[in-house]
Amino acid sequence: MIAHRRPSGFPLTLAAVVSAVAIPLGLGPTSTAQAFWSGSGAGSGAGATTTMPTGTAPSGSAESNAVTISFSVAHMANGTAVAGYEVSRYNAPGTQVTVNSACSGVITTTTCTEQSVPAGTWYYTVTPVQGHWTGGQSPKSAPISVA
Amino acid sequence: MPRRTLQSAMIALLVGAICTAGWIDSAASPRSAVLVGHGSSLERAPGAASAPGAASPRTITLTFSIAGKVSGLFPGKTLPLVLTLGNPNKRTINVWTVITTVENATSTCAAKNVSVTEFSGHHTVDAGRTGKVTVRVTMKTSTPNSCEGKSFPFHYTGKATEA
Repeated sequence: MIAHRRPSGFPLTLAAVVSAVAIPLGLGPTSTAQAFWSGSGAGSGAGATTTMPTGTAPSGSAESNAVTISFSVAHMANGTAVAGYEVSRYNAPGTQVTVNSACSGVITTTTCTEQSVPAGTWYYTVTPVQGHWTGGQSPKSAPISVA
Repeated sequence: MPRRTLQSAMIALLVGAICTAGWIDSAASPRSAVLVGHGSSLERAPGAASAPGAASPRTITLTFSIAGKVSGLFPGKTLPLVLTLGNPNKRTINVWTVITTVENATSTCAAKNVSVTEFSGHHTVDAGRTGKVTVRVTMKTSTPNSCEGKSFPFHYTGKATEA
């Protein structure tokens, strides 16, 4: 009978050493060192624009050849007041004519006085302006007579 | 050679081999997780090339959601856009960039009329929670009337790292 002497302690020692070294290094079965993270964030949304208002019909009065008109503040749909207004003047037949200084171009107030208005009957409108946007033109004012 | 000496020599060789493997591994795959790339799927992280013959690394794909809307834009206006970051994962993440792409609202209302700032920084979102970051949306003063009452689709992409 041949007696084989078992290499006592070898397998146990080997396992202990492997575990003692491998686990701290992150090589064990629960390690994340072999995990590579990949991913991204994604989604969608929108940027909605508001809408422009229509101007309110101005009221006015004449004194000599100066006509003063005034109107209400116009607000966009989001509640913000517009930055400016364009004033227009029409004669009795309804033809638009050039507005003189103080009311010409884009004004940022709700009142203005047009100078050197010729004698006649005139009608005014205002159109809200915001940047390159223009709102709806107001109805015409009541007739304003300049003597 | 005595058996015990042989045993000691083999253990020493084994320990050396494991230490070397560990050093190579840690150099090739840093512990800090990196979440990169939009739409990437099962893609290995940068610098994660494995050595020939090495076992394939485990790839974990994480995603997080980005959502947010703004309304009330008009020419010349800048508005805050609050983005909600949703982290459905079991790990906390640090979001460090969110980029917004704007699409045309209509054929006559081009995307170029709107710009959105990029979020850049570190915003921590806990696992299973949401976080918020704010960017700014600006509409050009020269935006045409054709953009009135329209909606620009926004698409968000973001990157993060594991916290």
